[in-house]
Amino acid sequence: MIDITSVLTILFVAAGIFFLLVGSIGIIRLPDFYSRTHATSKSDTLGMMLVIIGLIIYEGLTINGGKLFLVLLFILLANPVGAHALARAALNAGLKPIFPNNKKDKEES
Amino acid sequence: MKSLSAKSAVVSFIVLMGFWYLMSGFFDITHSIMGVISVGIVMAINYKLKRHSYFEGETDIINDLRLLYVPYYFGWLLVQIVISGVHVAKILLSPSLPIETSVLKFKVNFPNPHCKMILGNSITLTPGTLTVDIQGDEFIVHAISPASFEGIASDKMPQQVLKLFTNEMYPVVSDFEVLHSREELS
Repeated sequence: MIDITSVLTILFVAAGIFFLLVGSIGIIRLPDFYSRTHATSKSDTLGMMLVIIGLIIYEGLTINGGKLFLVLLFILLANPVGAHALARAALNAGLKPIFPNNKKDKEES
Repeated sequence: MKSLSAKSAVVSFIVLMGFWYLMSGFFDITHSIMGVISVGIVMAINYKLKRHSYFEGETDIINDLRLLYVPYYFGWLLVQIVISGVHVAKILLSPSLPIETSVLKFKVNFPNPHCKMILGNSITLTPGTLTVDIQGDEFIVHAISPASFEGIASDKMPQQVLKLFTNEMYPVVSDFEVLHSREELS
C-alpha cells in the first residue's frame, strides 16, 4: 500500500542522501583545504537536515519525532562551530587559500 | 559577573522541563516531580556558569532577543540553506568545476556581540560561505563562488540578524572588500 507519508519520507531521505553524496564528491574534486571544508560541512548540513526531516515525517508527531528534531537542532548548532574551528586553526597556522583564477598562485601550487 | 533576570531563569526552566518531557516520554505526576527536581539541580549547578562574564560588557541574550522573531529567522535561514545548497551541488557536479574562490573582508556594526555570533554561525551554516575568523568587528569569510556571498554583499543576511534584536534598520556591513590573490591576504 502506498500512502503519502511513505512517499514524502522516501523523497526527503533520497534527497538528503544525494546531497551527502555530492559532499563526498566535493572532497575529492576541490583543490584546497578551505574549499574542501565547504564540501564536507555544508553538504552535510543540508543532507543531514533532509534525512532527519524525512524521518520526522515518517515518525509523525510522537516523542521519537521530537527527539529527532532535537538531533537536528544539535547538528545545526555543532556543525558550523566545528567548521569554523577547523578553518580558523588553518588560517592561524599560516595556510593560505588557493585562488584558482589567479595565475601566479596556480604556478606556485 | 553579570546579573541574571527572572525572565532568564523562567526561560531556562521551561526549556529544560520540555527537554525532560521529550527525553522521558512520561507525563504522570511522579515523573514530573522527578523532572522538577532534576531541573532544579541542573539550574543550581549552572548558576555560576551563567553568571560568569566571558567578555567585557556581556549582556543576557534573553533580554535583548525578540523571541517572536526567532522562528521567522530560522525559516528564512532554512530557505537560504536550501537555495545555496542546490547552487553548490550544481558547481560540484558540473564537469568543468567552475569554482571562483575568494576571501571577503568586511566590518559590521552591531549593537551587541551576540549578533556577531549569530551572523558567524549563519554564514558558516549557509553552503558556499565559511566564516574563517572574527577579529573585533572584522569578519574574514571564505566563499566558493560570487553567487554564494551575494546575500552578505547586499547586506541582506546581516539585516535579518539585526531584526532579531531591534526595530531600527541601518546598514550593517561596511568596508566590504573581495580578495582574489594571496598577496592581499596577510
